Amino acid sequence: MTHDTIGKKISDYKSLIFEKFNGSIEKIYNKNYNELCILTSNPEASTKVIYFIYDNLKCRLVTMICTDERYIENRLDRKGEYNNFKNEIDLMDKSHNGFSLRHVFSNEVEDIFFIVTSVLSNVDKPTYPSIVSHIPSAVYYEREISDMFGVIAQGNPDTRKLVLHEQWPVNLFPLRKDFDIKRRIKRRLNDHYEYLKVEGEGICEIPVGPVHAGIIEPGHFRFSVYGENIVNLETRLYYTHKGIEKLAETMTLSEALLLSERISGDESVANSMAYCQAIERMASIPIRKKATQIRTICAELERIWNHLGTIAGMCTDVGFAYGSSRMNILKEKIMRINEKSSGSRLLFGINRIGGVKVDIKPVILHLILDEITHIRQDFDNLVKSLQNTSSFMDRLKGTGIISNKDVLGLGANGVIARCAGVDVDTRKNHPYSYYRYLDLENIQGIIDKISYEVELNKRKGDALSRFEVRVIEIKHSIDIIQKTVTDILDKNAKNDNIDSDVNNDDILFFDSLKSHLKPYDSALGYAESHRGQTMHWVMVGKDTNRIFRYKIRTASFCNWPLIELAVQNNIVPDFPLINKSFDLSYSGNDL
Amino acid sequence: MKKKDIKSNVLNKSRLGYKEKMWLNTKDKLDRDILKNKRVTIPNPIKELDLIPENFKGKINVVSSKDIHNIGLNVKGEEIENICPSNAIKIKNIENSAAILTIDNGKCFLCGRCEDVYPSFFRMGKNLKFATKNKEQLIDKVELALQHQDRESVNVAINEKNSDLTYDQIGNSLKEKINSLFGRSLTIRQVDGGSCNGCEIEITALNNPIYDVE
Repeated sequence: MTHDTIGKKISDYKSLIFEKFNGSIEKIYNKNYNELCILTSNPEASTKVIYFIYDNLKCRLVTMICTDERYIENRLDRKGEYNNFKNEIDLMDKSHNGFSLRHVFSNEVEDIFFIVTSVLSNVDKPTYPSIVSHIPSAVYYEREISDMFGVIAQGNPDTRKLVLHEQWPVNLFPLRKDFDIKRRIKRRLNDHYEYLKVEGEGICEIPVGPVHAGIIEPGHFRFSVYGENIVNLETRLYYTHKGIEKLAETMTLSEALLLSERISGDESVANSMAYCQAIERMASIPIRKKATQIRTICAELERIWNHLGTIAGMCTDVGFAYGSSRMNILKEKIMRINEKSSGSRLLFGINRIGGVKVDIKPVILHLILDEITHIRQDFDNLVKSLQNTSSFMDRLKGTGIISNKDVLGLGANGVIARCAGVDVDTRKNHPYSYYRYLDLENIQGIIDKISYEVELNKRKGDALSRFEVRVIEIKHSIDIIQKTVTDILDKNAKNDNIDSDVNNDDILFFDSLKSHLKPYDSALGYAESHRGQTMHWVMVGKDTNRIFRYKIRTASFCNWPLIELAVQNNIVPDFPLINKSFDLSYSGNDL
Repeated sequence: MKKKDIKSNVLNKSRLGYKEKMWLNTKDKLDRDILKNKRVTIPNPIKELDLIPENFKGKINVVSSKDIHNIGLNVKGEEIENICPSNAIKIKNIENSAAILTIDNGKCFLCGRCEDVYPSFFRMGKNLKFATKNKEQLIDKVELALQHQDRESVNVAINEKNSDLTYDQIGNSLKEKINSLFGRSLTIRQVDGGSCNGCEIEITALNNPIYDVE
């Protein structure tokens, strides 16, 4: 979609929403290309707008952001200074002291985000009406906000702690601005978490974790079983909560880039890309085409090696060592390509704000093309032999089924959504980077729309369909890489003076970007990691080189609740397989 | 793929379950496949130097320790320390135009930021061999245009700093005990203190057929 059509769509929505909620909307404006910000006068009014957007415009809740804006100084002075800007910053108004809450919705058909902002002016006891009864996927966001900010959603039935465990003192909220990051906390040990009790004759509880046998990150799983069948599972995460969002507030923009790469080591490109894009969108600077091409290649390499690793893990959990060894060999090959092209096996240090750090040379590009065709052949043969192995396929079929309804209700995304026939993909719905130029209608290798629909409807949401989705995505990623690499090589062939051109193409110094940022401005950044949509929201501080608030929502956060539903009525020995077929990150969740 | 092909494919798939498909293809493909493959395990990955790519991000080296005046170390000492996000770089005794620069490789996570900002001073080498027997040896010390009369005092300062590394002493005594119980087999114990899961991925990669630590 071109820039003009998006602008027209947005102004249509703008007038629609403004007419409907004339009294309760203070300001409605468009910023950062495709964000429509709606500032409402009070939380109750914003609930109405939210329901309208969710029901009538068929949008998905993608994240909820809370910010502590109590201590922003000199807002009145600033208002005069920035009056002539067309995109006024919503914080400039003097009445907006206190916590502000943003509900972000994404329209999957058109490339538009709706951000509904409400300001909670009651600073001592900030509350807002919960939307859980209408939009179930909000439950985890609301619990997270109540833990980190002490901003309570009235009407949320689950009042237990989510992020901070019981040892954390009561009434101490780490993401508030008056909480000092260096403060040492005295742990208290007299409280415990209430798991959902399943009672009855023959019901047993099996606690698993947080320390596991094997090289896994910490997480606790509480099974209630009847014989071998799992009646209920409750997951408890956040054992290694690192305080990334708080840590980012002490950092400059370029330091936070390193942090964003390490949110989850295997999603390093996706996360840093989302972060960089947030800042690039804020500064409204288009980056060089070659930089987007390199980003795309790396993002797809990352997707391939992770999917290969997941399939290998599924083979291990089924007890099919041959398959897992062969998959691991392919994975290792991709990781060596990573190392050759970027110097890091996990693709750290690719992105920088305003472009990329590394340039992939034509020699390496040819090597990538070469290797990837070999890998594709091996992979195709291997998948065929996996599909012919009954012990493998029997274990996957019908295991860990999730329904279409659960996916839509709980707002899952990525492979987990696609395996149940819900067609969401950020690369397609909100094209970014070089995906804009690629033909993404055939995003999963299927050109015909009708047959794609048929294909989607056939997916049952079990481990087998997750396996198949991953297989399709690997093949498609290989296609994307081949296309992108040939695009770069074609362009190079046309330009004879490559070397001088390349240098100009990639390096866009940060200083030039910094001057485009306005104090307390904010933007969304998003990317599709191999797990699903990762959504970042960055707000710069008074000094535009510093971060005021950095909200991260990775795909794992949305998808973890689904695993509790998937294992119900399965047997305990299938849990590792289901868990691996989901392939969720603990680290990306325990921010 | 053409439209027709896709449609026929879709139909075929829906008509045949995977079991039926499996029976069609049973030709002991798997067995032949296993025998066809060559050995992939490499005996010593560190020795295979051609594996190391050109832009490998290895150990940080200090390139030109002699021309510290060129970059104005006296003024910028603190700035250089601050450039490292994990505080691995420390500069001591900046007075008298003499200094000791220490790089703690235990803290360094190879982000390459120091190289980006001071390319004339730091460089990421191709060196793979980080591993040492104790934590003290991980700290690299580089003398920067040190004058003779200051050398002693600086050395004393460093020794004092090192003497309070009590974790190492605990670790050493523990190691002796473990060795006496389990001998010298390689064991990897990992404590997740909030990793980004990159370490887990690489430790798991040790078990793949190419490196195959077992």
